[in-house]
Amino acid sequence: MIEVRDLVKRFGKRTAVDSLCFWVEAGTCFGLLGPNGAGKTTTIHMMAGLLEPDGGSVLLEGEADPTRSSLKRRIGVAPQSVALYDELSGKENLEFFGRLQGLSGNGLKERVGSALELVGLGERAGDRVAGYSGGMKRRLNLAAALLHDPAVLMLDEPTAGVDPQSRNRIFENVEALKKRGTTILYTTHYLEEAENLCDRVAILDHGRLLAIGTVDELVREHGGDSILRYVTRDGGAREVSCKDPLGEIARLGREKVEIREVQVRRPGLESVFLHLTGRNLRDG
Amino acid sequence: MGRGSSTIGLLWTLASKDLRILFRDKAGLFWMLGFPLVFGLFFGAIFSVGAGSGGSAKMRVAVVDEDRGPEARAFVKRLAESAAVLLEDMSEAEAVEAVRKGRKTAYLRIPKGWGKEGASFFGGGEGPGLRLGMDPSRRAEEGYLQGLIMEAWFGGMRELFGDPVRMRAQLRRSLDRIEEASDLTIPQKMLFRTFFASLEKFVDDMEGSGLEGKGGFEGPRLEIDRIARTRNGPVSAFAVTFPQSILWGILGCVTGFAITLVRERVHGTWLRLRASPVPISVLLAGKGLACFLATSIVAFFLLFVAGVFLGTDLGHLPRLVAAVFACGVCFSGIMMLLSTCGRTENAVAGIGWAVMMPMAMAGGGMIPLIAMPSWLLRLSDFSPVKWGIYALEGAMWRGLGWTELLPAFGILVGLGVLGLSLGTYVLSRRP
Repeated sequence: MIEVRDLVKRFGKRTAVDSLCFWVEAGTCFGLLGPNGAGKTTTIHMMAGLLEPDGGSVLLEGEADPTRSSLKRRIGVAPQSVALYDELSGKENLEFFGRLQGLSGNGLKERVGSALELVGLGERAGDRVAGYSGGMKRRLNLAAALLHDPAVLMLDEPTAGVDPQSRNRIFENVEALKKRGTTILYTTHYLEEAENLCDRVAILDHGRLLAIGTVDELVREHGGDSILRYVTRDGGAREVSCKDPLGEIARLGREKVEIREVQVRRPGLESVFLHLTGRNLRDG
Repeated sequence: MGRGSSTIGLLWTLASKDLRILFRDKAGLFWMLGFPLVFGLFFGAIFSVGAGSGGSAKMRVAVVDEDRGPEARAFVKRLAESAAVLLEDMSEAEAVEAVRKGRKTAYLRIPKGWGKEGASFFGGGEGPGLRLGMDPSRRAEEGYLQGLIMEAWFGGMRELFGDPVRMRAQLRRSLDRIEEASDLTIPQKMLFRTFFASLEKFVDDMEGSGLEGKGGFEGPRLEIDRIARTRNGPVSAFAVTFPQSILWGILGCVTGFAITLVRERVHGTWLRLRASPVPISVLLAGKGLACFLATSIVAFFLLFVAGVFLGTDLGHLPRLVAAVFACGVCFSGIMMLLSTCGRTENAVAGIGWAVMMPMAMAGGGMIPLIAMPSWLLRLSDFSPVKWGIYALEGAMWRGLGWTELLPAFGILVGLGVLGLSLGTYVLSRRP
């Protein structure tokens, strides 16, 4: 279990994270959703002990101060930028980071092998990272965070700039890790990723928490009405905003409206964000 | 699963990663090894030719011919025919000074009257002997030169046997000296008379037989004059240019490593290192160790080339190793400090060279310390490059002892520790 209490971080006069509070249950995937500059990465860095907060605290499994080595051993971080050495091979990179995590000997060899297999880079393990595609680098970036089998995995925009094939692979990896009981913190500005992967989502904007809950809860509370669009037999197109689209269709039937075509657009996280901020997430 | 690493193990893991990356970067490698090597060789070759010491591998021997007789002249001529020596006539005072200053390998004095009596191979020990003046440290050359002198002398003997008239005159002179000798008893004199009479008959019988050169004779009397050479200058030009080139190589390492620290921050690997359970002090110490090892590798590589392939005298090895290590500590500290001076690779590279070029120029990187005008030499005291070169030269050819080297070592290590401390302090406080 992770608890974040009144977390604050300022860079000069700008408040990057403003009194953030949330908790993450062990073994679940928690999403931090927001546009660029929302404070997602700053939050992750404070949780991983990479940045000192100006206020508030982070508790990991009941223990404070994530800068302590004992806690760092339980955390895996895949930074937003591809944090690998281009001049080394994939295997050499993992061996190096594994040693820093205290792995050695056969244990290290086994962990490196299984991490490479997990992300599908076993065959390219001996090649220098400089020769990898962007997607392969992202996958190796993830593998480097998994080496020491951390209880908490923090993935900061893990699919940024990745081809669809590598993206699917990363999704599969995240699902597999969830099944293994790893607690995952997942920052993204892709709504579909948050909707598909995360058990709970926190929506951030300008460093502030706007809403938190499961996707269904968020949509129910902040997503607004569904949009029902239908075309009548005489060719007229109509669009109705309603809470219960099925009930609305039934009502139209009762009123003898002859419908040739019907389309329902349910609200999603995009609507939630629009509703909360007045702008689309993709607009930044 | 193996868990837990000692600090030493972690330091080695961090340093070996950096060294591996370093040796895979061909451009970086050129600035660390290639350029300094070319610098040392190029300027060393130019200075060698300029000093007139690079064109000949012959032993330069001063000849002090006080005899001036035909035997002495013939002896010198035979000696000069050897491909291993280059002779030059000098006065005795000039010759002794030339050996003392290291301009000549040795001097050979042929005393007055040597041709008449000293050059004799029958009782030659009675007359004035040759004198060979050499630096006691040049044992190998001394033995070789003695062999050449013997060869030239025996060459004379062969000529003598080929000339019965000269041979008979020589026998007569020897017989006269025996007759005049007061320290010989009558039976001894009779014995010599009988021997020389037989020898004279032998020469008569031998005339034209071609058996000259046979028989047992004693060689020329050779007195050795040990002259300690005053080492106020380098023996070879490479002994000047290679310490300079080592410092250039070290400066290449410093810039390279200062940039890698910034690159780690820019590319995000620093973040990943910080996310590991390794304390930041160990991470930075690992970088310092890698820089120290790289500078040592560069220095020892260049010294190896100078010593093995160019025959440069490396002087006192333990002091030289200490000088290399002191330089490594100093410039690793400077590297750490430089890496704090910018937030991008270009900024650090620019600042690095802007700081180090004047440091190198003023510190003897271009103009050798021995050739510096006094005002520049005073200015160079403010450059760590000067102390690095001075420490290396001190161990190699300046003949400085531990006590004399201590100030240079102290300055280098002190600067290094200061740089490491300040750099670590600044870097560890950066978000």
